[in-house]
Amino acid sequence: MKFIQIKAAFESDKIILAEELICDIFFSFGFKGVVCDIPLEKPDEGFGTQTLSKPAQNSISGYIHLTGDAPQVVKKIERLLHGLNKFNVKTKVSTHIVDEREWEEEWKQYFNVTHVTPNIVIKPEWKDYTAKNGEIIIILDPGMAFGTGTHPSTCMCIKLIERFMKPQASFLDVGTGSGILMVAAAKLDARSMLGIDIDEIAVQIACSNLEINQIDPSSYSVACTTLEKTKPETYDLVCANIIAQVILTILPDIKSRMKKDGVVILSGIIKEKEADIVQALTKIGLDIICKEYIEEWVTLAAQKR
Amino acid sequence: MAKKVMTQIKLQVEAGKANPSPPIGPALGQHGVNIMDFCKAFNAKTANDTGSIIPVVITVYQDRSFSFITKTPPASRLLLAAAKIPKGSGEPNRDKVGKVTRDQLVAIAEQKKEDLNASDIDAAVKIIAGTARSMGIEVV
Repeated sequence: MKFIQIKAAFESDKIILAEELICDIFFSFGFKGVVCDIPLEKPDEGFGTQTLSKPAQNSISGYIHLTGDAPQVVKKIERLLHGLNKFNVKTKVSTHIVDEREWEEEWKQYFNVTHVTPNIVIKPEWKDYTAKNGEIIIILDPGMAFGTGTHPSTCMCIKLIERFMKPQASFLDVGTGSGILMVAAAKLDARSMLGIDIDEIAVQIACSNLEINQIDPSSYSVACTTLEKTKPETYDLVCANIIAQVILTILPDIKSRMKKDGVVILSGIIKEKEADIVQALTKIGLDIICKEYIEEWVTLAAQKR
Repeated sequence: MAKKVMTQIKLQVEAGKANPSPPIGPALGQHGVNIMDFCKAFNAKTANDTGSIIPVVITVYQDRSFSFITKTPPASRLLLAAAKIPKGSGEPNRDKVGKVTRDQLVAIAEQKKEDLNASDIDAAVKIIAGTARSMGIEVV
């Protein structure tokens, strides 16, 4: 199926007003939605340091089916947009024909088979891959949940789980997201596992990924909850791949869930927050036993003596 | 998990009715975002507002995962509802198609205050009044 993209580039001193007026014209023609390519607020603090560039040109785009009367609709919209001149909103309309096949499966092309360690491979559910001798395959459909396996934080976590997981150990995953770390732990011989997340959708996706990977359902549970509300059980290995700010607040709870000689893996930490985490670990009496770095990310492992 | 932001996308779409058709499909697909999962999550979150247009800002991370926040409906839609008219005027200076009271403007400004980046409620009211005038809606 083909569509016409109608793009209204605009100039105005009052971006919000211009956006409202242009969108209203699109919606008056029955459009179900528009794309607003305008300057946006900064991303939430703690989600990286990359500065987003402003669009080269402010614009609002709507789409209609490529039918016989589409050119007339475009002309009507263009005329109404031109009428916004009196509010100092100057618009310029352009059109472009797009085919839905261009985007239908496009996002999936970005997920490829990834070797996280020499022995652990992440395979998107929709891709084919045959395991080589001794390789552990994690099948993943990340959906809406965090944890695609391509992010440095996740890669370093899996690497350290592989290093510190002992046979038949118990495993706690705080902020389980897609459940990728639980799958990795299970395939590395974890005996019992608990995964928690505050996002109900993540919990559903984690369960789905554990099922896809044929992990024994009696060996794990996944819950939509916070750490302090879980049963006061202790674990051999704990993983918290969240963000530094959250880790700092829950570190005492994490320590209380660790067995003697148990290990915690802390990830999702940007380098500038490393010192805060190190200081907090020292203060709480956990010994740092390992540090890993990829790009601007740090992963720490600490042990409870 | 902390993530590096790749881009942000702003859409305005019907509450509870997101689907992979345009504009959502091409807007998210080109950045490698899982379109269906966004639709499911957006629809679940906005199901109670069916019939409204909801602005949504989607943050896409470098690993192609995403998060999103929904905003209040556009002022123009709230003004149409307040004036009880289906659409604004094509000739707003000449043809007035509806009326709203100052109290209604203040109510809309209160609702939109956070999204408008207005310094105070008076500034927000001025923005809403400007939108009303440009739609041919009189403030009485």
